[in-house]
Amino acid sequence: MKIDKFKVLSSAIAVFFGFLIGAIIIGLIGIGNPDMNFTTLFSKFYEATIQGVFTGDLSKTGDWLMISSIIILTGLSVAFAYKGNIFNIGAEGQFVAGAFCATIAGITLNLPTGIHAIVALLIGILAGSLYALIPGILKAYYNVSEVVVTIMLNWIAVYYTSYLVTDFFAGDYSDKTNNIKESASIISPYLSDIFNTRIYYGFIVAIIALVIYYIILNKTKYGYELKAVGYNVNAANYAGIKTKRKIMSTFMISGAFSGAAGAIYALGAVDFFAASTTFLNYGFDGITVAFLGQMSTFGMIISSLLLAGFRSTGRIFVGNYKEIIDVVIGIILIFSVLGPHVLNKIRGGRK
Amino acid sequence: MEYIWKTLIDILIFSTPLIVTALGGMFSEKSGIVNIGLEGIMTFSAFLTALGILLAESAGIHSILALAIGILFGIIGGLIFAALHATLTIKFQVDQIISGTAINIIGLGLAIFLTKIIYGASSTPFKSTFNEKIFGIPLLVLIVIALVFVSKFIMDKTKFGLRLKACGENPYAASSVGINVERVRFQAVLISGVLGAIGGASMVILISSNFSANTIAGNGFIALAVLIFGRWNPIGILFAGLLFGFLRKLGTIITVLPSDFALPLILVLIILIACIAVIVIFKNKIINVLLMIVVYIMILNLIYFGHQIPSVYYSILPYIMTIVALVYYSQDKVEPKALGKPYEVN
Repeated sequence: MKIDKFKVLSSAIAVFFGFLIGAIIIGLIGIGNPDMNFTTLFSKFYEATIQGVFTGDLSKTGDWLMISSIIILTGLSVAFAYKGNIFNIGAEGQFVAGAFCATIAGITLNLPTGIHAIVALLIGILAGSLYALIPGILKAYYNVSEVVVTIMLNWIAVYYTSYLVTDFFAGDYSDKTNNIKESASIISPYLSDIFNTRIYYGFIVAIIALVIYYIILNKTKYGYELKAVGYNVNAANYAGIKTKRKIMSTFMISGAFSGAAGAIYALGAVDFFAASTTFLNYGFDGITVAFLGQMSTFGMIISSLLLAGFRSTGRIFVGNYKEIIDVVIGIILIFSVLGPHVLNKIRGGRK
Repeated sequence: MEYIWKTLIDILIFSTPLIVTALGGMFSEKSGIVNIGLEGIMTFSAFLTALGILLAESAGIHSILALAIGILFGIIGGLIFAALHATLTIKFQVDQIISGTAINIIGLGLAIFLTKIIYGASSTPFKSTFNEKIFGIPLLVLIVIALVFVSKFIMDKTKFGLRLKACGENPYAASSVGINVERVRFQAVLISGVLGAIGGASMVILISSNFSANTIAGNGFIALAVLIFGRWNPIGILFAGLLFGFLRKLGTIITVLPSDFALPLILVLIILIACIAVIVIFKNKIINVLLMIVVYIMILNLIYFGHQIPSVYYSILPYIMTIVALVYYSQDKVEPKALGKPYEVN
């Protein structure tokens, strides 16, 4: 695998600044508070990720890996679309659609163990895919920018699924569904026992998705044409590529990744779907995963682990100040897109 | 009669943050810079406004001055984020969508983080200063309505407005006649920061009276919808803002959900389809505005005299209407031609 040192450098700088600015904010605000100083962010990050490997208590490490298996999928979703020059901010909405439909399938269907889980997962993937087809059709046939449409669809997904939950699928509580059936669960009892936390087969889905992403983009004619359409629609059209179909299928594949993320979240991380008027942010984290990982398969594995590390850090953060993690992630996102521009200028200057 | 007057003022109040924020978005987008960071700008400014008012109150100021101090705090916050967005997108030509997304993430995160640090809770205390009112209408609402017409004047009649629009249509042509495109765009984004900040501030002053994570919760994106539905035009924004503000209010106050919702839903759909048909046939701005008023009155009728619709439909209607509007405008080329495209000088 070819590794571009230049890209690695700019992403490393992004993470460095994320850590640095986060640490400074926490340090400055924590003056006089023994729980918060300049090293808190680092120590908590360590505690939330790999510390378990050395102490033997793997629960936090397990949680960390599970979060990263979800956000790598939304990251792949954003990255795949971006390869076709499509900005899929709708990963969040497709995630919600996938999670909701997988949950409903997990509750209502009656199937044998295992098959039920796979069917629910596929329904979630299909839901994300179809939800992404809406901006796909609008872009292909009406040349409507996908950015605003997907932003609007995110909110529609959140509001509408909440309404469906409270009015039609509420279980024992009015604001969430009942738990999915045992047969639809993707939790691995064996691994959960080892890690002492919920471990689910989402990581297998994530690995399959990574392989699919790599193969489609690097080894197939489809991937080549996708990049051609992304580069110049008119030229691709002229070269005989069916651009309308390509744009729509790109959206559908992108949405399928996000739908899968939502499905494994619903079937593994929680067992229900809760009504909410805010986002869970897994889709938005996908944007950072994609750009920090520079859209490369290997890069996104690393970036999803880092991002999930920050999210896990947020969960154990002292004094419940987990919002500082949003600031850190925002800074990382800015620097991961700023880095290539600045480094390019430096590099260009040398030439 | 008094009840109707009160309802109308309520609708005005709920529309005000959307209208002023959408005006901000208009300045930015007309110059060619997409600003989806308005949500983050509103959120952070709302926090700073609450902070400013509370600080003023604790210093013993309880007049309208406290509110002015709050707005000033908010504007400073808006300017900081707008300057960040402008620097990233204009100086470094970073993707405008990513910059905006990052600002949304940071704005919300930082605001709640600081609220927790300062007040030890996830929301600030409530302000106690009353709003200055004229005939029952809060002063801030009147100021924002005035801003609509000021913006209209700036856009159509001043050198700055015309240059700004030129930068959004064709920056290279604008540059060739001696306009400093980067400078104009920078100023436009800063203006959007100030107006977005007033939007966030008005949310606190007029509606919530404090700051929490739920204060803005998507209003920045509704403002984006208002901007698009208002066709990047101040008067259009005024009407679209009134409509969407009204829907937003309905979405938040109506909690009684009737069992049969099919009929009202179909009615709303028919109204919408009829509107779109007329918009497509007539392709006229005045018709567009009139239609919004018609939709508005018909929905009003539905509410007061007819069937109750599940509140979710009021919540999602602005988003659906925006998507429909975008499809329609795509034939019409209303949006600035160079929108979202970086201006690169070699």
